Amino acid sequence: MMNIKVQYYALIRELVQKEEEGVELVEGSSLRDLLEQLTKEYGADFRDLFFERDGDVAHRILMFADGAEVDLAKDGNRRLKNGSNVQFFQPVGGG
Amino acid sequence: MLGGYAGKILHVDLSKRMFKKEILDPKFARAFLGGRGFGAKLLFDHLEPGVDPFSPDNVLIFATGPFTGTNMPKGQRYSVVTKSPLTGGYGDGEGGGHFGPELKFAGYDALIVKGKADKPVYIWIDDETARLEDATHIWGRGVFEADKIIKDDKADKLVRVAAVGPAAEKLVRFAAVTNDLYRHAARGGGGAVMGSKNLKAVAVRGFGGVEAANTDEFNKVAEEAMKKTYDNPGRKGMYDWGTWGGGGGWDLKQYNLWGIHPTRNYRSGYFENYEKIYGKNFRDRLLLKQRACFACPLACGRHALIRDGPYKGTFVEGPEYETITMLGSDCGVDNIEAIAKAHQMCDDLGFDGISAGNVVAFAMECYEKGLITKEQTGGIELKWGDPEAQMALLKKIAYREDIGDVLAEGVKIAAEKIGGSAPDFAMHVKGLPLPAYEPRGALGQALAFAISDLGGSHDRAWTYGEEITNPKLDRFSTDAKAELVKNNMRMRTLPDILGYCRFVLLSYDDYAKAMAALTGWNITAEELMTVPDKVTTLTRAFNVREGFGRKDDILPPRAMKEPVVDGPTKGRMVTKEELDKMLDEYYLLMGWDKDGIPKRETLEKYGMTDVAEKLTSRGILLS
Repeated sequence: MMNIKVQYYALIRELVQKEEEGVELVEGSSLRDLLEQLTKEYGADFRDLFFERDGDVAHRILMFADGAEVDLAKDGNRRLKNGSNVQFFQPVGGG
Repeated sequence: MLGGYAGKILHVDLSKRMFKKEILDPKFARAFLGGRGFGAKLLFDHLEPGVDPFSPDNVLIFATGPFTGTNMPKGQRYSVVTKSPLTGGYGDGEGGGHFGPELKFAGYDALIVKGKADKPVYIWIDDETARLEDATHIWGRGVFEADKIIKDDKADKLVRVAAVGPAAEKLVRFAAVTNDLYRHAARGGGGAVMGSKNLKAVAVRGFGGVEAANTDEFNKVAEEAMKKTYDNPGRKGMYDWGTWGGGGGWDLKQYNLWGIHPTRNYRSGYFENYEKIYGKNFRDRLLLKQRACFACPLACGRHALIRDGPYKGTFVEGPEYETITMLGSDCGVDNIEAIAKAHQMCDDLGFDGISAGNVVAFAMECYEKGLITKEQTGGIELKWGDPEAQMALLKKIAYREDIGDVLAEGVKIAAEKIGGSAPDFAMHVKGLPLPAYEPRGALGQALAFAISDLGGSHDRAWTYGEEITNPKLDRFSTDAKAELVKNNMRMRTLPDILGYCRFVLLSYDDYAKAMAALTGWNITAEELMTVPDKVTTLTRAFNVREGFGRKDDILPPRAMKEPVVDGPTKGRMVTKEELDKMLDEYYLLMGWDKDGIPKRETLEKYGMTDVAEKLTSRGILLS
């Protein structure tokens, strides 16, 4: 098993009602696997932030893995490492 | 002394050349906290209704918040509050940099300026000592030079200066107050009011500090807050890309894909050449380095150098998202170097860059429609996308030459003077030019613009992000928008009150912990959350006393009668029915009546019975 530190910001923090948590995943899991596991916990509303109804990636939430931005459409199947820090972020604009 | 506050308010009467220090009342501090909370109450109390904004009787307030000058990350804001010469209502602007902290280090939470000097002066505050200095040698000079001369006069490079440029001296209604050369309390017309008072600058040097009631606890909370801010991906986005994005975050490109990027005086929300003016191009061609305000880990400021072309050698801090849009796409300009040059001109002439771009775009459309002629422009061919024409016009506005004299009044008054169809495409609310977001792009944002106490400003609520990305919301529906606007406005107003920059925010609980340690008050997140609502109700009461009401909570005719011409929001408008529905819901949530007048019970709930009495004494009926 491996441990992933997940941090939530803005809209998604309101949904999950947490700033951060640790998630256990089997070795070799990807970002998509992480989202699947979190969907079990937080339901369809959580899933809808990341995917359109037809399964396409919805570019609503920005994702970072260990400080680097990741594109779910391109990098979703890439393996996560034990101890990785994944951040779900929605930028606040309006400067 | 109360922790978190300097403990004094400084009154300056320019006509009588009198200074007076007032001890900060802890009850007043607890009720309004600081920043524009202080400003709103002081303006309401010190200004009689009906006063011309350019009259010596108008009041100009500089106010810091409890976080200003502390080790909270981004604790550097100050507010400039006055009766706005653009709207005739409540006006303010919030500035970053170092001026706010310096004012507090000198010993003052706020500065209240009244009267008019008989010749140009600047206010010099050197810790406890405050006096007026002659400013005839800097009158007429640009902001950059004025800042340098004052520092030279005082032989101290660490003097912090908030100055105005030639635009303010000529009473251009959208003149800004500029501090630390490139930071602006821009939008409320405070610069123009300074000009009307013959006040060229406020210069401050302070050697004190800000004390906390519980120093160890506050240091701990501030350190945690710094860590949270630093870890937030938004911090990295701001550091890497500034306010206009381009990589890790929403950016100018995204706004085009959403159809909310004002183009050619808001005819469209899509600029076909956006890739020429967005973050990546800026970084590759102009960026020198990031620049931070006091105690800020974001460093969203950009030092830039123009390396090629006719403006080669120009140094500028900026442009940022708002000016790149208003001086860029909204005028049809797609040349990044030219936009940077125009931004630098706005800084030095002393304009609010948002309003300046909006006004030039308006003038370009007037020229296209034949409402302004080449004779009136003094020979300028005022064509869309021509940066030379834009810059020539900016100079004429600053010095009120030719048509610049009319445009210096802002788009509302200028449109009335120019006549014909001009008022139909004058893009303002209550007289304040709209900022760099298409009002037809989302209905919540349309409501936010319509009800803003300032007029056409996104300083109060910015809801596009949530309206577009939250799958539970439909941006073209009125559903749940009043509540969204109220909550967003609360979230963005509280930082202005605390003296805290609104980029990358903390939670209300975090603010409460910091305030408790700083002041020693037993203060909760719930109490803090009521203060922005109270201040919003107070500024509403100010505007009601000046004659504003529901009739003024409206968008420009272009947004309500003309569909967006192309791009992703093509065909969109905001109807009167949609706006009315949202206004009803919003007033109800705020405890205001159907005409948008705060109810007596609402004012009493917030402890503002004095405000209720002042309204009724003016014949305003409260329900």
